Amino acid sequence: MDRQTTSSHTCVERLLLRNFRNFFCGSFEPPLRGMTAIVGPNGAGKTTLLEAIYYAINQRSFRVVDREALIQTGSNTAVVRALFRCDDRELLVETELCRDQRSRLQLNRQPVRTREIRTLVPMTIFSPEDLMIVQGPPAGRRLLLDNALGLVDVNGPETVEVANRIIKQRNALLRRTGGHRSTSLVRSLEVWDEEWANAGTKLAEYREQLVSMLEPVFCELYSLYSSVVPTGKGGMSSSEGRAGVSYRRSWKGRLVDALRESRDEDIRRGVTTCGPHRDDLVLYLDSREARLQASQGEHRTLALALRMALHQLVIDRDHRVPLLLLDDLFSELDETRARALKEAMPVGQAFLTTANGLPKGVGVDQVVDVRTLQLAAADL
Amino acid sequence: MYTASLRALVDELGKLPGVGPKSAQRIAFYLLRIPSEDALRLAEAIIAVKERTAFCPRCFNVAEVDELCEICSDPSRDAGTICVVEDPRDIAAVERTRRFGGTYHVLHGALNPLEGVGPEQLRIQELVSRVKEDSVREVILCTNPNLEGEATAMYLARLLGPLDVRVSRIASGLPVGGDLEYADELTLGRALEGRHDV
Repeated sequence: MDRQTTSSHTCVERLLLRNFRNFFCGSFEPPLRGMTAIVGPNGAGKTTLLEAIYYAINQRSFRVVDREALIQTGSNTAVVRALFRCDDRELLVETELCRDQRSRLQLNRQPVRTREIRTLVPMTIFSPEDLMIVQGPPAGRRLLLDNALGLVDVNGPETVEVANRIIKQRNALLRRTGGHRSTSLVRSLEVWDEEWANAGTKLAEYREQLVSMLEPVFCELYSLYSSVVPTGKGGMSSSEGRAGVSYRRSWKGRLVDALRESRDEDIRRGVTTCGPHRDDLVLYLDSREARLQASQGEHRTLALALRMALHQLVIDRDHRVPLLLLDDLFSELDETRARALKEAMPVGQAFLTTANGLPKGVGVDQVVDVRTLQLAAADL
Repeated sequence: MYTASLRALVDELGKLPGVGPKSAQRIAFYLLRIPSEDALRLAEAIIAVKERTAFCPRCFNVAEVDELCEICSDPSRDAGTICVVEDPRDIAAVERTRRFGGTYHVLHGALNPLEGVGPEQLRIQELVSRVKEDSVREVILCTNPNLEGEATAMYLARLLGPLDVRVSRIASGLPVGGDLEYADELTLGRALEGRHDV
C-alpha cells in the first residue's frame, strides 16, 4: 500500500465509523494518493462511506436525509472520526451525532465551528443527486456558486451571509405591513433598500466573476466528457455538444433603481421581488437552455463538468488537489467511456463507488470491498 | 420532585439571559443554602431597582424615578452634542473612554424587522424632538457596527439630514494594541477604506 505522503493534495488517512447508518463499527485506511474504488453489493454501505467523509467536513449529508437517519437504528449516537492530511497538517475531525441533542464537533480535540473545517479541508463531490443542480430550481445553482465565492474574493462568503440577513430583514418588514403603504414604511424600506442594493450588487458581481472564471474550464471539461459519455440520443452525435454557462440577473440597471420601481409590487406581495436571490445560473447546450432541452445523460454530464470545473479552479488557485468523492460515477457508461472519464480526473486522492464492479480496463489504484471494512471488535 | 416554591424559583431564574435549566437549578439550591439575610438582600435589591429606577425622561438612560439621569443633570456636560447608542450599557462603554463630554440618547434597540422592531419601537421620535427643540449642534451615531446597527444609523442619518445639525458616524477599524495578522478581513478592509493622511 502506498503510504507516501504528499503536501500537494488533501487526503483522508484514516476513517472510523461507529453506529453510522449500517456501520456498527468500521475502519478504513485508504491509500493517500490515487483512486480507490469502493465495491460491494447494493446496501452494503458504499455510499455511506463517502457520506461519512462528507459528514466529517460539512456536518450534514449530501443526500437529502433526516439527520436521524444517519444514526443506526437502536442506537442513540453515531460517531465519525476522520484524520485528514492537508499541506502537511494533520487534522483530526471527530463528530458525534446524537438523537435528541446537538451534535458535537471537534478539530484536533478542540471544539470548532463547521465552517472552519470546510475551509481547511477542500473537497469536491459528485453524486447522482447532482442531477438536480441542472434539473432543479435556481436555488440549488445559486447555492453552488455562493459556496464557491471564496474563489473570487476573501469577502465572498461574508457577502453571502450579509446579503441573506438583509433579505430576511427586508422581507420581514414587508410581511408585517400586510400590503399597506405608508410614509413610515417607505422611510424604513429606503434603509433596507440601500443595504440590499449594496450587498446584493456585490453578491451578483462576485457570482458573475466566478462564472466568467468557470466558463472556459466548464466548456472544455464538458466537451472532454461528452466525447466519452453517451448523450442518451441513441448514440448518434447529431448535436455538436457545445456547452455554455452564463449568469442571469433578474433585474436591469442599478439594483437601487430597480427596487424603487418594484416597491409597490413588493409591498403588495409582501416579499422582495428583485435582487440576486432571484437570479439564475443558466446552462446551455448548443446555445439552447439545457434545463429545458437536453437529455438525462447530458444533464448528468453538465453537472459533472460544473463540479469538476470548480474542482479545477481550486487546484489552479491553491496548487493543491481537493479530496474527490465520486458516488456512482460510472453508472450507465460503457467500458471505453468509463476508462476515458477516469483518465481525465485530476490526480489526488479520490474515492469512487460502483455497484456493478469496475468497468473492464478502468485502472484504479485500489479496490476495496466495503464488507471488509466492518469490524467485529470495538476499536474506537 | 421539587416543592411548588422551589419550582417557581427555578422557572423564574431560568428566564434570565444566559441562564439555562441546569444553572437555574444550581442558583436556586445555592439560594436555599445561604443565610436568609443574604438571600433577602438580593430580593430587596431586585425590588428596589424595579421601584426606584426608571428611564431618564430626556435621554432614556437609567435614572432614579422622576429624575434626570446623572449625565443629563450634570451642568458640565455639553447638551449640544448627543451620542446615540442602542443600550444603556453602551453609555458605560463610551464613558470609559473619557473622550466624550456631551450627552447621550438611548434608543433601546436597533431596527430589526425580524424581531418586530421598527422605528416606532425605538426612542427615535424623542431624539428628533430633542434635536429640534434644544440647540443641538452634532449627533454622533454610535450604534453597533452590525447589520441592524448600521441600518439604524442610516435611518437616523436620513431622518436628521434635513435638520440643521451635523450628523456623524463612529469609525470602525482595528483594535488598538492588536496585531494586524489577527484582524479579520472585514475589519481590516474597513480600516483600509477609512485610512487618513498623516
